[in-house]
Amino acid sequence: MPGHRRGRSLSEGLMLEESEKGGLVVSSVIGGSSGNHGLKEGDEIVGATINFDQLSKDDVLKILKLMDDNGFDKKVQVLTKNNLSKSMGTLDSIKAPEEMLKDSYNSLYNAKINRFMKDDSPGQPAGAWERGSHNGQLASSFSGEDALPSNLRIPSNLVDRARAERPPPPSDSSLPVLRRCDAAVPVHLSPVQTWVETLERRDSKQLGLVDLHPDVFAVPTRIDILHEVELWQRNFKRISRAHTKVRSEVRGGGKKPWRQKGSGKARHGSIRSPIWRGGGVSHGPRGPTSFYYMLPMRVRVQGLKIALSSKLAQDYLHVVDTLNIPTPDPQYLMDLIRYRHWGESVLIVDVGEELPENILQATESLKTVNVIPAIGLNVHSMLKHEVLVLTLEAVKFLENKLLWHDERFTLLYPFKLPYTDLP
Amino acid sequence: MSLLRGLLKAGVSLCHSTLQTTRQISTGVCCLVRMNAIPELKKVDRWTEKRSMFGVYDNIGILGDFKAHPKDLIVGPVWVKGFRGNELQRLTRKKRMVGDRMMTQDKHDMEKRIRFLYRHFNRFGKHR
Repeated sequence: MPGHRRGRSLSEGLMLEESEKGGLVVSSVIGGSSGNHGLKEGDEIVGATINFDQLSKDDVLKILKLMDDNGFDKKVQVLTKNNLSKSMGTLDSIKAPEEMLKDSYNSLYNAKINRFMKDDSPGQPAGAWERGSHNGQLASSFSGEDALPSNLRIPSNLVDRARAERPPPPSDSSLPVLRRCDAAVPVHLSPVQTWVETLERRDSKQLGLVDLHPDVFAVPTRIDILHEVELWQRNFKRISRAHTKVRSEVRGGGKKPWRQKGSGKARHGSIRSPIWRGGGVSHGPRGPTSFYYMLPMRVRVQGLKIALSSKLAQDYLHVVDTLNIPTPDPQYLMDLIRYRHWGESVLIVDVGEELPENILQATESLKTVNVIPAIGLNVHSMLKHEVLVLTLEAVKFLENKLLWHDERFTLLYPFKLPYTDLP
Repeated sequence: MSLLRGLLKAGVSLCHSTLQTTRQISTGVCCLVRMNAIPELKKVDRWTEKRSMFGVYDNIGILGDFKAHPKDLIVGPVWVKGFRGNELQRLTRKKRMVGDRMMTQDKHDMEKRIRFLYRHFNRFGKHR
């Protein structure tokens, strides 16, 4: 469009051709290069930007009407002053900050994560966000898989939209409550509820609801207790076997190397003293050292309760009726976890010494999915695995064991020795 | 005087040419950073059997009717399982529990060390 530019107009000075991929390529440039913005043969035209700063209101309306009339309004992105960044020279990649975040998340997701998601899984965030702002004609700074560096470490807490959109059970749902709390719930609290699911079929719906005792599953979260218990778990078992020899233990060094006076050398009493090369270590680690200590029993119990409550609060706890799986195939479990958007690593807990064979076989070869009996539950494993799956019997067992500590007498002697009234 | 000036100019030009052929030496900070000597990050598998099963059965007392204690889970020398102390306490405990089974040279070294530590803790320093 003629306006404030000098030289021949753009539309007269260029010959355009459609390339095989469907883009527009400059086939030849007529006239001087001064009026043609430095375009050469072979350049592919992706878009054109108009700066509305010096134009009058009528001119702007004329331009917009032209674009409307020819049906180009979908390809147009209108920028307001808020959208513009400091330099006017980068007009083509300016978007609102929320859109830029979405775009960069989008491209990261597409580049790294989309490959691992199954095609039929619901809720593909990439597709939903592609519509709207840019239609692919404008080049963004991330362009496909090659743009990301290969040693980029994606944080594992990238938000999974599909997980976030799973609603908690409403208070008036039609599904039956499969289990009520055995112990008495305090009057000022009410039980927390979650779905009960099955592992029978990948896409089966929830069977019902389950009531969880608030003093075990809805405890106020104290991260310092979790930290203490985690450190205890790491250290009480630790035995450091670092050992160095002292000067008396190193072989040799009983004789005085040379006489005290007259030899011109420094005075020494043995060749294995710590200042000598090959001599003993004066203040080194000595022998197997242990770092054993015990936290009070109630602190460890409280740690377990807090871990369970935080798993429930963050939607990472699932209750399952039994652990019966149709096939011992590990791929079935992985499919189920991906489909239901549970998370990366799963810890499955069941009561009893004999667990179903299928699930044992399936999880044997899997690294991030593990089954443990309920006696083996602990804070470190709950923090290491992202998702916790409990069976109904495991919930009952845990509530029973953990609630007893709230109303028990203190120890007179260790619980190992017989008490008349202990269960 | 003009002869001298000419000689000086010739000398300066000679110096220039010799300077251009000498080695470049820099004493800045950039040459201390050796980009080709940065080691690679070691690849650690966070999900081995040991790492994924760490901590299981640590609450065996609370959840398991108190028939076992977590200190029974510790793997190590007998005199150090479920016990924490300084070097003298550990050595005397070792002598009590395992002393009659030890090799002669080791036992002799241990007794010398106990003697030294007893004297060190009970006769020297601020805390005795």
